[in-house]
Amino acid sequence: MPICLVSLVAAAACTNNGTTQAALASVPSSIQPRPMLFSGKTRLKTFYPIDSQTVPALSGSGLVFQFDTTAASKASLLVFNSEQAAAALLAGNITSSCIGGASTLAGHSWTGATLSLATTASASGLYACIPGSAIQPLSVSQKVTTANFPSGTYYWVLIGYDANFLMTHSSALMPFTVP
Amino acid sequence: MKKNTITALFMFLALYTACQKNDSSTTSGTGTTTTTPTNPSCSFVNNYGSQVYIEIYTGTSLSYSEGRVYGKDTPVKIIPASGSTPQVVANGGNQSFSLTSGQNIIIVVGISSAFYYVNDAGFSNVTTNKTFTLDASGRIN
Repeated sequence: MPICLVSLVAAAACTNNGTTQAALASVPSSIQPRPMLFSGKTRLKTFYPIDSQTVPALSGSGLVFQFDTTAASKASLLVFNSEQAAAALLAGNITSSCIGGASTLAGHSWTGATLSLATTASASGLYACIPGSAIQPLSVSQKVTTANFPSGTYYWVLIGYDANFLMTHSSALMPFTVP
Repeated sequence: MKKNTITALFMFLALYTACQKNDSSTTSGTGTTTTTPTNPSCSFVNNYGSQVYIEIYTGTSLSYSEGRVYGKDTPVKIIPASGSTPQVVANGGNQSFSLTSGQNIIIVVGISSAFYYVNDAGFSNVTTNKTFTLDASGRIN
């Protein structure tokens, strides 16, 4: 009897022998995805770290963010050390609570699936935030490493844009904890 | 000879009847009989590192997406047995439940008082007692 298994890293919508979800019976769950940071957008999926997860110590192999931004033409990933209000970010001001990130808008390397926070700058894919800069909120050269992430709770978000740089996609602002 | 044959037949029938169990039993080649439970006793164990909230559904071809549980037929929630509030499971704690042998289930896990989705996993044709564990990485095995 086939059953649709959804794994931690699976990105595709679940189907049953080719039947789409629209043709299946369903019931609402009281367990709901965390709301997108920017409402009214198409959701971008975050796979790791998952909601409120305590990740392994970064001093070992660092942290690899896992996600799916292939639906967006361009995308950014930002990591903060405190919760963010969408309005503040929409105003274009990256706050000082931004620790690091990467973006295709800045020409950073981007696979659409993973981004590494490593122990060395050469291996890390995250760049330093430039607080208050609406035009260039991320450095194009200065990297951040695990040394920039002491123990504590952080929040990461994905933002997607179309070819005209208009925001079209958003993920939830996902908390995770560094031990 | 005929009497001995009839006697042997009755003896065979008596032995056969004595060895009969319910529909859940199997007989190995050595003649020993094992019994599989008709109602598997299961348990969900939370090793995530923090308190979580769970829902467990039975049905056919179960899946979860964007806040809904899907199935070929309407999924039936068994945990919690009633009410809309997901079942809380303390960190390191467990939640027991029983199934009818052969049922399929999907376990949906949420976190915080807002029951934000963490992960889900489906298991088909559960016929034996089983423990489902949520580990620190969020995987359910």
